Amino acid sequence: MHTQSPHDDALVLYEERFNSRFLLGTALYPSPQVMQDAIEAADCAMLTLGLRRQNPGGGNADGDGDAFWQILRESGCHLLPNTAGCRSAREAITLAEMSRELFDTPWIKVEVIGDDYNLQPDPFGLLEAARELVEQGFKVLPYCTDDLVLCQRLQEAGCQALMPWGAPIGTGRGLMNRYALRTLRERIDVPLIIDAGLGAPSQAAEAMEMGFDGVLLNTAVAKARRPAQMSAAFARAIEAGREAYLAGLMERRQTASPSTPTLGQPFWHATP
Amino acid sequence: MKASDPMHEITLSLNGEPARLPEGTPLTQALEAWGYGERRVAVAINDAFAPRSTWPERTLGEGDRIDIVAPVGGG
Amino acid sequence: MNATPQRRFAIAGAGLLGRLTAWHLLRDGYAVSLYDAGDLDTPPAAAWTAAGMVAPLAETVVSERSVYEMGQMALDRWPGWLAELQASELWHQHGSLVVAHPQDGNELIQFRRDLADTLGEGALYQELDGSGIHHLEPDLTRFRHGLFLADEAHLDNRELLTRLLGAIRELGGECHAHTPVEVHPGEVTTPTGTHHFDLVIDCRGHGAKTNHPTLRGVRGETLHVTTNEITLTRPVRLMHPRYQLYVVPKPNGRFVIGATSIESEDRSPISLQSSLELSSALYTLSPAFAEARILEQGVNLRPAFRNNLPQVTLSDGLISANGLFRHGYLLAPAVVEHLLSEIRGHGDNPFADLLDGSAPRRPCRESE
Repeated sequence: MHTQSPHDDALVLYEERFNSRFLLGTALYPSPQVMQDAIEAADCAMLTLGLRRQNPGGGNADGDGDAFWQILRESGCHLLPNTAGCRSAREAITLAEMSRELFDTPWIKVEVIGDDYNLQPDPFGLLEAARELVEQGFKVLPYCTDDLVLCQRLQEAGCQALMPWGAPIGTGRGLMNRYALRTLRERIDVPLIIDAGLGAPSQAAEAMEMGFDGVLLNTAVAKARRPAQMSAAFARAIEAGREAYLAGLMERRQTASPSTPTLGQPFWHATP
Repeated sequence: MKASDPMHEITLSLNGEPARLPEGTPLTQALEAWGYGERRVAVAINDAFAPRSTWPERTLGEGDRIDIVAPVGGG
Repeated sequence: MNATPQRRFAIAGAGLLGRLTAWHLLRDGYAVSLYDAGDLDTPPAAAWTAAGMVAPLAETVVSERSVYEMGQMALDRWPGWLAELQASELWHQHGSLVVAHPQDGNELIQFRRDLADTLGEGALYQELDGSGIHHLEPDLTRFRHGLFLADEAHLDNRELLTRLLGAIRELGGECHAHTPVEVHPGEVTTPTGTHHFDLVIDCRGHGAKTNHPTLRGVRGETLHVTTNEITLTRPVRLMHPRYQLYVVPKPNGRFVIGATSIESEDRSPISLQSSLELSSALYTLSPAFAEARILEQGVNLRPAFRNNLPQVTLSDGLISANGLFRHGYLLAPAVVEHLLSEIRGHGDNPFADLLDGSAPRRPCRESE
């Protein structure tokens, strides 16, 4: 029988191979040092980052010297800029173009927010932005809901990987709609990465066991009491979940069946 | 096109705040004057991306909205 | 004590650290020259913008245990120092209150868990229900659950800075306002020339950035409002998933609301978004704030090293203390006591292992 270990089981996104299935965010850490330690412990495929308006006098006079940027650069990790905070396709496209120049990368996590309260993606704006950016040659990873038809349209638009939410950003609620997510996994044949809403390594493992290709998270690590320890825990859970998926999980059954055969044990016939 | 008059000042918006510049200032010089010099930033003008390669040629006009962004932590 | 009373010290930076250190050294009988790039009466220091809380429990939740330990020294030292300054009325030790709206109850649970995780189950706090909150702060009527951190304190920080300056002048300290300096071992260079000292003490916060490649500024924004529709006796922290806000009562119906924390060295005025966040969080604390008048917006840069913890670096003729981040009034006593025992060359040297910046606390990463 052929066994596949996670080590020769690379995540492939837009024909590029990644040795980890863990994507980590870089916001909300208590200090840059803590972030750096969490990044090292995660050994992740990609680091997400954002863009924000920079006023004159802001940032550091020595440009690349600023602590945040230096840590990201030193990590040697692949960078995945996002379009967080955008509320229309137009805004997301412009921000994607700006980040392509700034980070010299065609990768973009496209995020178009439709509702401020639960930060729910706007499917219409997202699809429009994704179409245009794919056209422009970006490697688009859209942050989307778990809606099957939206995901199909995004795939038709040329997205070679999708990032459905587990739950709203920062809530830590885990996989809220397993039915929808299972449907996505069955029906969509490009890589699917669960992005947002995960709070515990067990939830990440569950997503991986269901056959998702990767996990992107931020708050669960950054807001843990010891972020580096938590990112190591997530890294292992993601690997374990992936390995379990490859190993093939048993189906649940109604009737108990003993794992130790009782027939042939001494005294079995003596039980009343 | 009317020749620009460097004595004439224009008002534009820089990251949402009003800013003034002599008319006809190239973007490169404007960024320099605003203290962005060697910074790692990207620029959009009136909601459209302005690639770095266009900065020396690009002159700013009355009422232009300039957005300047830099990296920040994100998820 | 006064073995070498003729020693002459220069202190660069007249913020909280600079003033406290100058005051102590002058009382030891040393000659002190204090320099600041800005004004001394309304200083550009982060300590002027700060809200002046001394909250070892609440602050350790957003940092680490050492902040709590150093903070204990603040609770111990401030009352005595203020008494010596004849300024005891500036010290208010009435505890602090942590509240969350019912829908954000998990934020309180998380806070409590983080506290217990750092300090053990014996952490000193008291759980309150609506009536308990009402009993402590009769004007807060919207909350059903809260935590009371009884040991915590706050001080009237601007008045303290003013009194310290007065005491420094009275003790014969030489004060130089609007005098940016460069510091070197045994030397201070001002725009008019170079001056020699036995020891230079660099307390310039973010202003010392050129001497510390890893020092950065973290932008913080505050609002000052006034109203007589509501009275608070102690600082109140509102836990919210997106915004974390505190309100600190000040004399004359004044309140300081803070603070944002933005990784930027931008000193420009408060943004509309930040002022909306601060003021709407304030309004949800109590609608009595609706008619408050906004007196002032504050923006400053908290000096921070990568681990957001303070560092004292010693070399011959130059000592530098920096990186107090968001914990100025909480950590200054520990940092000053450490500085003083280094300078005096005797006394127990508190927190030497935590503060000594010359020996890195963790090995540097090897480059790949």
